[in-house]
Amino acid sequence: MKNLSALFKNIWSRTLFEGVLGVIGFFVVWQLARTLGLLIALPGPLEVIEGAPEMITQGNYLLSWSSSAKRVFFGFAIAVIMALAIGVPIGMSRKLKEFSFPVLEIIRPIPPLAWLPISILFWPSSELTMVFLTFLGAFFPILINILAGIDGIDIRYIQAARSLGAGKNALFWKILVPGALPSLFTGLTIAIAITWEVVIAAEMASGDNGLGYMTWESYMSHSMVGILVGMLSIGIAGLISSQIVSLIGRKLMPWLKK
Amino acid sequence: MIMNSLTNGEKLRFLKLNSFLGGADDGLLRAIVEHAKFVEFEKNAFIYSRKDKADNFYILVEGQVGHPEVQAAEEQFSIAPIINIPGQLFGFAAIVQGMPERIISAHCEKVTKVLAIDGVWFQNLCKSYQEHGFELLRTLAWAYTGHEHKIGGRAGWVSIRNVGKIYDPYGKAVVAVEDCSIEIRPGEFVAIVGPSGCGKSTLLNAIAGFDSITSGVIYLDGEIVNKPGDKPIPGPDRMVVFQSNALFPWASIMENLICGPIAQGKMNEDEAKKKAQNLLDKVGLSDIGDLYPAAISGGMGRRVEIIRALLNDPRVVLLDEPFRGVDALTKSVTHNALLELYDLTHKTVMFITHDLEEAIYLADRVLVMASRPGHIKQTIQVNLPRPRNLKLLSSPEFLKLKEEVIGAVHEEAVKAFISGEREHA
Repeated sequence: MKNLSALFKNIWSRTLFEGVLGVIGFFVVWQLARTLGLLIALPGPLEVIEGAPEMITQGNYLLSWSSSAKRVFFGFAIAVIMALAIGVPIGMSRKLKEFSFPVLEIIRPIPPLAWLPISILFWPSSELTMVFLTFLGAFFPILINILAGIDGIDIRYIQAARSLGAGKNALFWKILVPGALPSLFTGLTIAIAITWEVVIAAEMASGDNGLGYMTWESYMSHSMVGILVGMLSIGIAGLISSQIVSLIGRKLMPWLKK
Repeated sequence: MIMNSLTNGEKLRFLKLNSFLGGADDGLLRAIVEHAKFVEFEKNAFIYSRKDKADNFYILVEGQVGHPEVQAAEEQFSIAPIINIPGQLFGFAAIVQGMPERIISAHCEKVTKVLAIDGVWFQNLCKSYQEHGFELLRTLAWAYTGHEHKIGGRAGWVSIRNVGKIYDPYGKAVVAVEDCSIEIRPGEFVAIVGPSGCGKSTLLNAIAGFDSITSGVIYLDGEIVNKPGDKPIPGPDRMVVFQSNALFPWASIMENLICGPIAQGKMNEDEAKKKAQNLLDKVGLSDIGDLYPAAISGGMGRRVEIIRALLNDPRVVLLDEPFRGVDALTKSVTHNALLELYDLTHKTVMFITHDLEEAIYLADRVLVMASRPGHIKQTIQVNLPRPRNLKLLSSPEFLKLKEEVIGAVHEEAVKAFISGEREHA
């Protein structure tokens, strides 16, 4: 057993090492392209690194992070709660599913940003509009994956559990919840990425702070370095949040080992 | 039919010869003595015939009674074929509720004297004695499997009577099983072989309570577990081991094993763990308790699943082609684990398989099922000694039996197999 865990550790550190190597490689290629004159309009990474400290040390920068993160957090959290509250009963009842499926299928393909005009009219503040759009972006992938997760639970597990004397409560907590959890986390992983897409677009359209707004501002003030710092910040924010989601997933589902 | 008389003292003596009635309350016995009619039958007379109303049950005083149907190959009753011991009870249908009709006949092979007791009257009498009477009724109902002087009140009698299942999902009826009757003795290991789609899994699901039936009745120890129109309820008295792994992937092996007994409140966690570990040790899987099912091999999974079933102390274990797709070496290891656990617990086992050799190796009785509609085509008694092990596979008795069986099954079964397999190819 000890050898096995040591092996896992090695693989883990090796993948990390390779990942870091890949990131460095990406910057090297970018810098080379700049130095060789292939990129004329775009600054190279060295120029970005040079200009970055000035931007990052501004008070606005951290505020941009926190206000975007707050929107993502609230939109995402409300989406998770709502999707669970609606998805679990629908997933468990064929009748409810037949009733609600057409409605959901009509609403689902509408992109979150198509809701922007009606949200601005409906919600009293642009802050609520942005949180609402973020919520919409996250809600459907989570809901669909909850439904798929419940649907996909192998009938044998349910039969086996009933044979073993499981009551309604035990069936729910011991079979349905762990059985649908992997699919739920697939939904969460997709949703967290979409929330960042939506929040950035919403901030560009109607915000007055946040990472999306900051990037747009840099464009308006012709700051190339600002645009790139903004974009990289959004990328890093997305990476961190999806890592958090998958970390929670790994903690909650220890049986899913690669 | 010649009426004769017997004093009450003599009647009591014959009642007391029966191991179940003998221990009954004195008042109850005296009431039976007052009520019981002494009847004498000539040789070759029928005390009752098939489809007759089941009104009386009988205690043998003298003579010999046979159940001709029990010996026939196409019938599946594990009732003692011959009654010849004074005090032996027969015609039990009359005291098992919900069985108004005779399913076999009783034929006098000699001049026979019996005590006849009205079943409904007896049921009411027992009920008036409350707990003691109920206990007596229950014991007698269980003992209906025949061999009552051997088996006693052991649980695990499966009785499948004229069961049919018609699937009708799109208005086009498909008859999966038709008029299928099987009796499985407590502690018996029965294998059912047949081509895919012959309805053997349908039958198993009906016993387990996963699937409803459209005709007939299924009893477990004299209690109805499935009948048309009722949604059957699965329970820990009928454990199923599935075709492919049905261990919960999100729970460790140990959690998988102990969840049943704990959910039913039969054991506390420590007790259950101890018992589970004990059985794991027995099949050579001592140190896998903390692993998740994904980390063990298919063959290990089958063994764990069999243990999971046994830990619930079921009356019958139902195995649905558990070794399908398991490689030959793993299969033989798993066979031996199953046999070892069977010898240990002596639970009633119904084992469904494709493989005739496997069926003979494991079972006491092999039933060959044919398809469209599913019904029992043939019965093979396997009188090989237990405990069995791998040596048996190459022993002359086994080879001889296998040859016989393949010869016997050839015409009907192979034909059915081939057409069945073709339909599903």
